[in-house]
Amino acid sequence: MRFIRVDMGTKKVQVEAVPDKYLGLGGRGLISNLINDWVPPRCDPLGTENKLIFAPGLLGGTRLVNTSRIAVGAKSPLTGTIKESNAGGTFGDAAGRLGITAIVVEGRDSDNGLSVLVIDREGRARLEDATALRGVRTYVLVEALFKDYGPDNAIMCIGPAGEHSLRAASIQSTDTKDRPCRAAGRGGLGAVMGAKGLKAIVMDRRGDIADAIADPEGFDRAAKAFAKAVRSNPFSRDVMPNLGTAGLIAPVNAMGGFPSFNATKGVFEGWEKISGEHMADLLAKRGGRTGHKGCSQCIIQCSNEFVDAQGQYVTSSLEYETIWSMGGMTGIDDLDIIARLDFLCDDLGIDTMSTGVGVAVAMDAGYRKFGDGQAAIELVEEIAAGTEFGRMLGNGPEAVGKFFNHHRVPIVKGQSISGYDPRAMQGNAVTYATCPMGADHTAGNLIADYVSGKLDPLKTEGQVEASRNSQIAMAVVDSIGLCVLASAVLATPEGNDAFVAAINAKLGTRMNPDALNGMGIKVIKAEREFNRKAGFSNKDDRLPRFFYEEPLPPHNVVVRISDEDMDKTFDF
Amino acid sequence: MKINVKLFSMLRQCVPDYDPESGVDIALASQATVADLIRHLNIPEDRKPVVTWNGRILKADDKLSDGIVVQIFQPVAGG
Repeated sequence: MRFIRVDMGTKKVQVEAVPDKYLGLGGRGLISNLINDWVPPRCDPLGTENKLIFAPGLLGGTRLVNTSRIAVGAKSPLTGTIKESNAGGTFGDAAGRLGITAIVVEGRDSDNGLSVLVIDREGRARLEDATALRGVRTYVLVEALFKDYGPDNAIMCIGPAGEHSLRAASIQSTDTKDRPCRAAGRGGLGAVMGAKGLKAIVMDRRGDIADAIADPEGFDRAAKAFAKAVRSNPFSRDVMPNLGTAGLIAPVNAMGGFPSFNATKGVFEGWEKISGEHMADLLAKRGGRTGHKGCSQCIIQCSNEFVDAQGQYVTSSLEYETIWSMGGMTGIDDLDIIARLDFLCDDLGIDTMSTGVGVAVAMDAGYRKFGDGQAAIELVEEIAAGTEFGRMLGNGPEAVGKFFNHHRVPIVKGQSISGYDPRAMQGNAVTYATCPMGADHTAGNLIADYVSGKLDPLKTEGQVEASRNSQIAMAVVDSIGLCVLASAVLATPEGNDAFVAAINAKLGTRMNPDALNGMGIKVIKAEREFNRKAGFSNKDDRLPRFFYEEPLPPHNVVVRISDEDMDKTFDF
Repeated sequence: MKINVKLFSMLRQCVPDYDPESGVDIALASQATVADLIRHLNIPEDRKPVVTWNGRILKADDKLSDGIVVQIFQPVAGG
């Protein structure tokens, strides 16, 4: 239970015990509380006062499956709000194994230098000069770092986009095959890392000094029961290993909720060509694979390795949100183009979702034609070239929309929506509008409720309550470090019981599920408190006007949740 | 009545030599329901099939109509 505090101004690295106040917190819950307590709410997100925090979940580094997420947070330069974004790969598990509760990166390099933070097998940390790595893209970067520091490491790093402090820059995380293809993509946290002068964190993943578990036997029992629940759930057992998150493309289109051509249509005519089923067939023929294990401790294996027609690696993992943003939104129905765009974004260190939506906004404004894949690649390459348009695109869709004076920019609090149109899924409208971190794809996504028939996506009734419950539940999941795809089993009694039992066994507590909900509420309260102090109010919990005014085919609906109802989302 | 069925995810394995482009044509008695269709296709219950038509999720007792194209999925969650 240690904080590693890194002052980028003085280059001092200190290890300190976790203050009592923060014990029992992890991941998003810890980050949100630390930022609310420590970061001046009106600070410049790219200035010295902001802090960039990396925290494994409360159960990171334990035997509980699918708990290797690493949460990253700061005041966001994209949204101006508090922000937590989490990534898969190997870093969260490595941090948990070293008993690291959080890495807090403070200040900024006053000499415009560039450093790498290295954390060894005993958990000792040091800064090393990395000016020779300036401007290096992430795939070449991690190859150099693994060569210098050895293969048994996990790496989180930025590419050129982060170094240039572009507001949609990501922090990339290495997967089980040492590729920087997992991302804490949202909120522009890569820009914060770049502004501080930190190029990468290299952490030994062989640590054996994890925090103690209060009841090891109880924990093992709960962990086994939880794994059994994950293995028997049709979503995590059937859909994910065979199709990955791309398996969502068919059902979301079938429901008329796949925002296409910059959110002017709810069904993409070419969706079968970019579906998970098509990708799985294509990769089987080419020698690529689905069912790839991208993250430590994962038994779902939703990842894939996308290869070209010659069987050569293109990218990993091609996910639903990227296929949506780079495909549906831009009108591009060619998986090979989309895969190249995914790789390009990972290599430059920029969020695929914001970037795809930014390209779509530019196309909608007439700058390029919808469906022109080559044009999309050239536009994203402009981010690397540092052209005027490239810098705008790298700053996210809001910047692109302002440049073109285009009214249809699907963002909330500066961050793009995800691949679920809020008009066809009214509860997701509530989540996009009210999430303390801007529009988000994991914070309270109700697609499972809709597909199961529990909730009618087109009616207004029950949406606010469902969004509230889902946002609270996800605040807990993100604090534990559990993968959102494994969290689907929390809807089953056996999955939820095992999850609660594991947390209790770890902490030596007897919390019931209601107490866990209380944990989630506290997280959201801390986030909203920070935002209020930063100048946000309920007036910011709104969608862009076009979602209320332009009906989305095929259902021809607009968002019908009233402002008053939006404001009831967090009436606690 | 005759309907066309498009299968997704692992449900494609429930019909031998399933062709994803054309789907599969199924003949059912008039007044047949969604539950009848699932039984006809021998989709195991633990695969939790979800049937959609015309942008809507159908319920087990919803009646089907001649000539429609339905899509059948497995449950999904967001990510």
